[in-house]
Amino acid sequence: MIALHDVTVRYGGRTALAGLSAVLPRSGVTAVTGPNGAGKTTLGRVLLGLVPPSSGRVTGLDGLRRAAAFQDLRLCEHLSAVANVRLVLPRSVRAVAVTDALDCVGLDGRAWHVPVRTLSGGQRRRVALVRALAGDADLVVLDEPFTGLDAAGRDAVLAWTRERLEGRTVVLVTHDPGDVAFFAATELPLVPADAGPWPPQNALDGGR
Amino acid sequence: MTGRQVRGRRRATTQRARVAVAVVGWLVVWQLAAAAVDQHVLLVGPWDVAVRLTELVPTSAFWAAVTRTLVSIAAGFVLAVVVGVALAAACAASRWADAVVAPVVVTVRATPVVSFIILVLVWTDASRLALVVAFLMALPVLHATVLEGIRARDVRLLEMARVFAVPWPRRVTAVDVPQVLPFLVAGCRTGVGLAWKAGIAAEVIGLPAGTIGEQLYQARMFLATADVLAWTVVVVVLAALTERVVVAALDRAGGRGGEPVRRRPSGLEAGGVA
Repeated sequence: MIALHDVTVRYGGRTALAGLSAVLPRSGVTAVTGPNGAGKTTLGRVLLGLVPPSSGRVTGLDGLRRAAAFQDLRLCEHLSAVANVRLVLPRSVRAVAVTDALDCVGLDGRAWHVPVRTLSGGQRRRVALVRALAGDADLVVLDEPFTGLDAAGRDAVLAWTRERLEGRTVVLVTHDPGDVAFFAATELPLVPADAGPWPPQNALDGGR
Repeated sequence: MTGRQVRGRRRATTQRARVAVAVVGWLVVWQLAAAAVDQHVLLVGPWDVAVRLTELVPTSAFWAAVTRTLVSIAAGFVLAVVVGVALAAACAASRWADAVVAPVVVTVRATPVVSFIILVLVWTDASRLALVVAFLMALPVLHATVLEGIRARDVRLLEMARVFAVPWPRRVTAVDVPQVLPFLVAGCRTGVGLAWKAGIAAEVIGLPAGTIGEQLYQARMFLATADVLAWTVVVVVLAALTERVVVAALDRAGGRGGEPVRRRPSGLEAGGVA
C-alpha cells in the first residue's frame, strides 16, 4: 500500500501540489482527475521518484518496480517500436512477446520495426503504452494514456490495458469519466493549489 | 521513392551543379590572375599546379611524405577524440573533474600553436611533433562539444530510463550515444581541420624528415610556388577526405546519420506542472 502524507510540491515559488494525503491500494486502479494545473502529473512524478516532495512524505514505494506511460511519450525516436519496448524489459523476454503485445493494441506489423519517429501520434501512443505494461512493474503510472487514439482502435487498447493492470498498483491520470468507469477505478480528484482549502474531500480513504 | 524525396534529390543535384560551376569560375579567375601577373615566383595558375601534381603523385617520395604526415595527424586526432570524450564524460559526471579539467582545457585552447611547437621541440624530437600538436589543437574543441552534447541530453529520456531502471550499458547505447553523437560529429568536423592546419604548420617549423611540411619548406626555400600550391592542394584534399571518413564512421557507428533526437517542450519537463 502506498500512502501520501500531507505531500506538497513546489516548483520555485509555485505550488503544484498542496498538502495531499491519500492511500493507493496495492492492487487496483486509482484515477487521478481534475482540471489542468491541479497537479495530476506532479503526483505521478512524485510516485515515480522523479521529484521529491517539498514537504510531507510518501511511504510504501521502497523496492517497487515502476513503469510509466508518459503524457509526452518519451520514446527513443531512432529506435523501432519493438526496440523501444525491449529497452525496458529483461533480455529473457523474447521479441515475439513484444510483437504480440503490439498486435493486441492494434499496431500494424509494418510499424513494428521502423523508427518510431516515422509513426503517427496514435501509433506512438500505443508503443508507449505497451512499453509501460509489457513488463511486470508493481507500480504503473499512466498519464493520459489514451489521448489521440482513434475511436475504432480505442476499445482494443482499453481492453488490453485492463487485462495487463491486474494485480498492480495503477495510477491513471485522466480527464475522461468513461475511463474511470471502465477500469472500475477509485477516483482521486485534485484541485489547483490556489483553488481553496485542501482537500476538497477526505482523500485519505481514496476519495470514497 | 516519395515525391518529397525526389524533390530533395533534385535540389541537392542542382546545388552540386551550382557549386561545380562556381569552382570552375574561380579556377578561371585564378588562371587569368596568374596570366596577368606573369611571374611564376609570385603566382602560378591552376594548370601549372595540376601539371606539377601529375609529376609529384607517381613518385615514392610523395607517397612516403603523405603517409608519414597522415599517420601523425590522424593518430593525434584519434587520441584527441578518445581523450576528449573521456574528459567530457568525467566532467559531466563530476563537478570536481570539471573544476580540475576546465582550466587546463581553457589554457590549451588559448595558447598559440607556435608556443606548443617550440615546447614540443624542446621536450622531444620533431618526429612526434605533428602528432602532439594535432592532439593539442583538436582536444579542446572535442572536449567542449562533447561536454555540451552530454549536458544537452533530453532530461525526459533520462527520466524515462530511470523510471524503468534501464541498465546503464543499454541506456548509454540507446539514450546517451544517439543524443551526443551529433555533437561529436560537429566537434570532429572542426577538430580535423584544426589538426591538419596546426599539424602542417608544426611540420614546416620542426621539419621532421620526409613529411609534407618538409616538402613545403623546401618548396619555399627554392621559391617553387607551383610546388607550394601543389602540396597545399594535397593537404586540402587529405583534410577533406579525413573529415569524410571520420563523419561516415561516426554515422555508421550511430546507425542513424547523426540525426539529433527530436526535442519537444512539454508540461512534463522537470519542474513542469500538470
